[in-house]
Amino acid sequence: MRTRELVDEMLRHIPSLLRMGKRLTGSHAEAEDLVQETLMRAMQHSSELREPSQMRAWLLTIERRLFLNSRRGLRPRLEVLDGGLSPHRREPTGDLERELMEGSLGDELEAALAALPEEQREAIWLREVEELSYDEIARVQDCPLGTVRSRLSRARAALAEHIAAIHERKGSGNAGL
Amino acid sequence: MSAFIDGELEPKERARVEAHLARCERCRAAVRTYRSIGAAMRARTGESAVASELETRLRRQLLREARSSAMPKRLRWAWVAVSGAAIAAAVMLGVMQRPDSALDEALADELVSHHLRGFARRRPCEIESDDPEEVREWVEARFGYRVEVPKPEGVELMGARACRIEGQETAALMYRYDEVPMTVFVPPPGSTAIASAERFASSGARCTMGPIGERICVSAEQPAFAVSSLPEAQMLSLMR
Repeated sequence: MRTRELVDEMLRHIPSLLRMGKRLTGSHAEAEDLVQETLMRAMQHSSELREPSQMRAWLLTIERRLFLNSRRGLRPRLEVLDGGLSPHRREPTGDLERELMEGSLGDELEAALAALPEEQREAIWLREVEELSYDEIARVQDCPLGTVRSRLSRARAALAEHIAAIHERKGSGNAGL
Repeated sequence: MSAFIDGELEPKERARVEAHLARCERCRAAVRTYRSIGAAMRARTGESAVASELETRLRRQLLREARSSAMPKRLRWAWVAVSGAAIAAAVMLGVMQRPDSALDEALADELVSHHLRGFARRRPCEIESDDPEEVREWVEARFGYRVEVPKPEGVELMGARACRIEGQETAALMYRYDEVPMTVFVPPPGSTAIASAERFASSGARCTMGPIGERICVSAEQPAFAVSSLPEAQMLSLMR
C-alpha cells in the first residue's frame, strides 16, 4: 500500500478510534491525544500490518495497548455512551425490545453495561458498536477465540437479565425473557 | 445463542440452533432482546464527529512520520557500517544493557508519551533555537536550574519545551537526526526522576526499550533521559 493510501485508510478509522479512546479515557481531549499517539505508532510500524483489511482491529489493538501501558495498574474508567441521560426520556411501555430501541431504557442499559466486568463490556462494545468479528476481537483483547465467545455470551445474558429485572421491578409488564 | 446472532457458528451448529428456535419461544425472545441491545448500543453511540482540523492535522503528522520512519532503516545500515567498532567497544564496556534491565515502567511510559506528543504538535518547541546557549538560558530562566545543552555534530537542535515528569516540571530538549526526532528530558535536581536516572545509569550510559518500541537511553554525566527510535548505539554516541 502506498503511503498516501495508507494514511487515507488510517484516517478512515478515526471515528472508531475516537469512540474507543473516549470509552477508555472518559474524556474527549484525552481520546484525541490517544488517537494521535495510536496513529503515529501505527505509521512507525506500518510494515507489521500483514492484512490491510484488518486495519481497524490492528489500530484498535495498538490503541488499547497504549492506553493500558499508560494507565498500568489503574482501572479503566467506566464509559458513558454518547447521548448520556436524555432529558426527554420516554416512559416504559411494557415491551422490552421496543423500549430498548426507542431509548426509553437508556439509563438501564448504561447501568447494565457499567455492571459488567471490563473484559465483557469491552467485548460487547467491540462486537455491537465497532462490529468486529470474533477473530478481530480476540486480537484486540489478546485472548483465545473461545474466550471471546464466552465473554459475549455472558455479557449478553447479564445485560438482558439486568435490564429485564429493572423493567419488571418497575411493574411495566412482561419482559419476554 | 450469542454466537448465532453474530453469524459466528459453523453451518451444522447454525442449523441445530435454527431448529431449536423454531420450537422455543423463550429462546426466540432472547434472540430478539440480544439484537435489540446491540441496536440500542449502536443508536446511542452514533457516529463520532471528526473535526476536519483534527483530520488535517493528523494527515500532516502521519505523512511527516512516514517520511521520517523511512530514515532509520537507511541510518541503521549506515550506522552498522561505520560504527561497528564503536558498538563492539560499547559492549565490552558494558554499556549495552540487558533487555530486562529495570527502569520504572510508569516513568518509561511518561517519557515516551511526552516524546510522541511533543513531536506530534504543530510547534513542538516553546523556544525554537539551534543555539545551545540560547536554549540553555531559556531553560535556566524557565525552570530555575542549569542544564547542559549538547549539540553533537550532524544533529539539529530544534529548541526546548516544558513538560511534567512524575509531577515535576522538566526541561525537554528537542532534536532531530536526519528527520528522526529525539527528546532529551533533563529533570530538576533532587527530583525522583533524577534519582531514577542516576540509579539506572550508575555504571555508565545505557538504554532500554520503552513500552511501545522507542528507546530510552540514560546518560550518566548529566542525568537525563533521551527518547527516540534511533538505533541504540547511535543514541549513546549522541549523548556522550
